[in-house]
Amino acid sequence: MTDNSLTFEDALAQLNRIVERLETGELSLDETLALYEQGQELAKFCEDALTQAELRLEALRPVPGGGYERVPIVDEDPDA
Amino acid sequence: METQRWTVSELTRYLREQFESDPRLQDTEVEGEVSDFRIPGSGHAYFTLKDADATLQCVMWRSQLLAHRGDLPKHGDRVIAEGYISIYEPRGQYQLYCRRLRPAGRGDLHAEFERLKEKLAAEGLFDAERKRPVPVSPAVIGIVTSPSTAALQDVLNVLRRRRPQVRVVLSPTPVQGESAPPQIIRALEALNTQADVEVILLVRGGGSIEDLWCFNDEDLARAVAASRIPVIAGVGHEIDFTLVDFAADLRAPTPSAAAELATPITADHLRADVQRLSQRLFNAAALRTAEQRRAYEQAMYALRRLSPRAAIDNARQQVDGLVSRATRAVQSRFALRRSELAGLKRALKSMSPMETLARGYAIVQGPDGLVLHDPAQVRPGDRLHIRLEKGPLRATVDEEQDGIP
Repeated sequence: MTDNSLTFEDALAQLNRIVERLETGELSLDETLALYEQGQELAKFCEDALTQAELRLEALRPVPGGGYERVPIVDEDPDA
Repeated sequence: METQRWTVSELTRYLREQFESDPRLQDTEVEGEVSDFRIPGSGHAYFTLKDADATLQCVMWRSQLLAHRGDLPKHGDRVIAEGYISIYEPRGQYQLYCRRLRPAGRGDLHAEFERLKEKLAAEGLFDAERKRPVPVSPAVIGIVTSPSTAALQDVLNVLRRRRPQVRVVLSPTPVQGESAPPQIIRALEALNTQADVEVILLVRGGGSIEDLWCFNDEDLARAVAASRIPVIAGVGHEIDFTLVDFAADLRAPTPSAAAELATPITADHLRADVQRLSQRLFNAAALRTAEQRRAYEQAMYALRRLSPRAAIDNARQQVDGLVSRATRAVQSRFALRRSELAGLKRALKSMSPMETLARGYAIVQGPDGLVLHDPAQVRPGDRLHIRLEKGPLRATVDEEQDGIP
């Protein structure tokens, strides 16, 4: 479920939906437990994503023949 | 209040100090028309600035004159004189001590700026309805600026502090000079080819009005307004307004402020959000399972109430009751019989012939074992069996005797 393509925002939105579903009730025990587990995974995914503290910096560079590519820039972080 | 008495020198010095302690008079620009510009043998320049209603005496020292580039003003030229106001005490005259002179040609620049601004405003380029909302939590932020500037570092520092998880895509371009506008436009367009970029910061650090002038380019202003991706402009300082500021979706006073406006939601906010959601998730799940347990218990209770077991248990108990009652009844009947029997036994015992024998009687039985009641029951020679109290006795009948008891 928490695959690589999942963005933080998507995960947070999904978590929000799950919490709202759980809060409105009318669920079987199986559904409740499944939603709870799914929600926990999403919350962990979000927390992990927030602990990542390295700003990713890239520069656009024109590609011969049109278009642009992104080149990572090693930025000298004054605090690092 | 006591009247203050001055000497002329004291008063004049006092006034000079008043002028010189007013910062607005110490770092000032005055625009006006030059008249009576002259440079006597001392090499210092003296002139008058005037407008329709007033005149101002000015002096410019030789050293500053030598640093002056370009033509010296002629009578009637409009200029902007930079300098400070003070008093020339020997003549009791206040004047502008001019450090720098420049033609008020920038007035033309300003007029051009106002003309373009009005034109673009009339086209609706700056209309509030045209402004797109900037995302509150972008994952990818584009930056258009020069790579080696303090402005870029300022922006990156703010992003690092507020939202280190963002991905930053820099579209490098010069941000100064006449050739800058088309390059800035290309940098903007390059970012617009990137599907994941959610907001663009168009930034440049502070500088002179000439340094920032490329951000008043008409084509650039149009490109900013036409950008598919919302643009936050952060050009120069708080006081600097450019056409790009008006055309952008959001205007920030500085590059750092632009970075802040691009990240209204910080990582700390998000962490708090996630924690709140986790707590709600747990509470809701706990509530749901508690409800389900309660429902289960209610169902079990209902089931128990409907179950035949109770009826069976009940019946079983009734049966048990009946059985024990029956048992008790039978047992008491037996006990009664037993005591009757004992009574009978006692009665029987009292009637036993042995009791009679003890009193001296005897029982005589014939050879056939029958108890003799009548002599006719035997004949002579019959053997008799006599039962006495202490034991039996054998006898034989001698003769018949009729009618003798």
